[in-house]
Amino acid sequence: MTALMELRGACRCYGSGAARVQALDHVDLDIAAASSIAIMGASGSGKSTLLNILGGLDRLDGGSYRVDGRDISKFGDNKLSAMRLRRFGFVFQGFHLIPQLNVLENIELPLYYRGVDNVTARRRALRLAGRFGLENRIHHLPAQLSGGQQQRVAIARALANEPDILFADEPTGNLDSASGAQVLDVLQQLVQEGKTLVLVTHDEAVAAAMQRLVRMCDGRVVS
Amino acid sequence: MTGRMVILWRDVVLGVTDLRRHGGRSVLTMLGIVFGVASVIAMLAVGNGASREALRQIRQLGSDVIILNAVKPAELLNQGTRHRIMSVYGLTFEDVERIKATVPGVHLLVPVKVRREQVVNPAGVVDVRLVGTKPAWFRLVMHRLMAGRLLTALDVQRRQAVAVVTDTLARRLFPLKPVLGSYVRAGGSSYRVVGVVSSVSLSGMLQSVAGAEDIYVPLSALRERNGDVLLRYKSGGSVRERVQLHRVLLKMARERDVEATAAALRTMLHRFHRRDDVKVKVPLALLRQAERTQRRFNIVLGAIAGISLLVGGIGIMNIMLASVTERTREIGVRRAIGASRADIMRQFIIETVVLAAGGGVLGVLLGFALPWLITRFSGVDTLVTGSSVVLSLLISVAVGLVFGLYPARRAALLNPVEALRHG
Repeated sequence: MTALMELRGACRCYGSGAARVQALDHVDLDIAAASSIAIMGASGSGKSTLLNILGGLDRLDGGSYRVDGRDISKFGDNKLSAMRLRRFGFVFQGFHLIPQLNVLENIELPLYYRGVDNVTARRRALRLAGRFGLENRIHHLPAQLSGGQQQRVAIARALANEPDILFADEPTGNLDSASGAQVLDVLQQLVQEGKTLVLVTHDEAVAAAMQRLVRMCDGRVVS
Repeated sequence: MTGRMVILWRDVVLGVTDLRRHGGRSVLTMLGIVFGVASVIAMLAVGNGASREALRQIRQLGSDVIILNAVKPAELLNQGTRHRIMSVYGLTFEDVERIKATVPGVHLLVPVKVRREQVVNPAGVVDVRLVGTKPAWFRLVMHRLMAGRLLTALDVQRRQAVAVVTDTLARRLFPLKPVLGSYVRAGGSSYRVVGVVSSVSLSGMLQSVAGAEDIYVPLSALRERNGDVLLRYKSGGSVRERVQLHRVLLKMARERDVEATAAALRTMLHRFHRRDDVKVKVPLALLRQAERTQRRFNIVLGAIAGISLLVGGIGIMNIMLASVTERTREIGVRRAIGASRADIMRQFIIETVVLAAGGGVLGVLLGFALPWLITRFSGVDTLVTGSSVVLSLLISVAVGLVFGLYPARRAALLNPVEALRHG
């Protein structure tokens, strides 16, 4: 059985000359569908670069990256954007909600880029808000929410277009332990529902909750 | 609504929301557009007003009219007030006969003799113009008969001392008693008022043709009673003038003959009036004068409007570049969520257009105020037309599009990873 995501000889470097940094150095990685994987490593080990590559935010300098057997490293910007829109969902450490939009509007954002009509978008956003216990906060702005609530809004937003792959960059990094545990719980539930989760973390406890652990050092996968 | 429409509309709504959040900054940014748009509207309003005024006047006389005016020659003006010198100038009855005999295509010919007189009535002294003319006057100048009758050929033939007065004058002369049948004493003679007509007000070059304080009497009657000599008292002496006719109005049978006939008349009159004491005027030229005014205004205000819009556009571009920088991370987030470059581009262009159009709307308001002030304080007729409002709004939207392009492109080309890391 082929993997959902398949990285072969992936290289990515930044800068040039003496300041050249090899962020990814011939990385091979397969990730199966409906699995969860944690990527760990020290700062500068290349784990964020790896996540950006897998999430279609960044491009490889060498090697290939296939999703469902299609090499998306050859995709143009529009096709890559469409890929992120339909199949990928992102959750960030700093939540990254749009500050001037309220909870519902933030959740609706991906639907809006997909051209979903107002009524359908509103219905879906309300359902997602309800699922993550935000029904009393739908007209609040992000700044009026706690960190845990904000991260749940971010997860709801990531799920709006029903993607099959979720990318989480230190999703619990800015949260207290109670909210962190809640967010982790939500993410694990999603994996049980069949989503694939790729998660970057410093936290051993969070990593342990994943089915698989990958450690990185100097742009290489070490275990 | 279709999906695309919804998207555009939401961008507009978000753009407006963003404008409101940065109220003061937005208004300052819009100022250039505001002034640009306001001057476009004001410019067109002044131009339209001039054309409208010219058209209105032409409508009262007809575009097929030629006016011959007696003008006191310069050398007579400088003569001062020495006694016994008689200024002789102006149109003559010979001129009239000559025109009748030689100029083809004249539909109406109206000789006019004017005396400035004062009428004393119980309420005080009223300045009037005693206009001696023929019945054809009322077929040429667009009066409306309000009461009584007009002058007739019989009045002229019999040199009847009858008068037709304008309604404005009628109210001033006879505030209490019925006008018709009353007598008005002017120029040493009494005239029985037989009719009242609406007053025709002309301004500018046509001002002297007809006014609100006119008393129309048969030319023959006026001439019999007052002759052709006018004694005018001035500071330190008096001036005597002999003028047979002050004005001759010609109505041509066909409008297209006006220019050629006017030229022919100029040549002919110059031969018999070497001192150029007769001027030929064509109301149609008023339109051309209005067009000249309009062109002058267009050039000046067009330049101001152009510069304002340019400066305004640059200001808007500047603020949008700042906005792109401020919102770099937001752009990164939107890209991560799946927004394409085109989506980001569209968002920022729409925001710029909303900003520019907002300035356009304020400019339209100011554009209504400016012509009003111009009319109020300079008396220049102005007219704001719907098309000028639409035009200037379109211009402001175009400015938004043009100057929004660069910031929007900058936003769209941001690297998502770097944008996310920003700030």
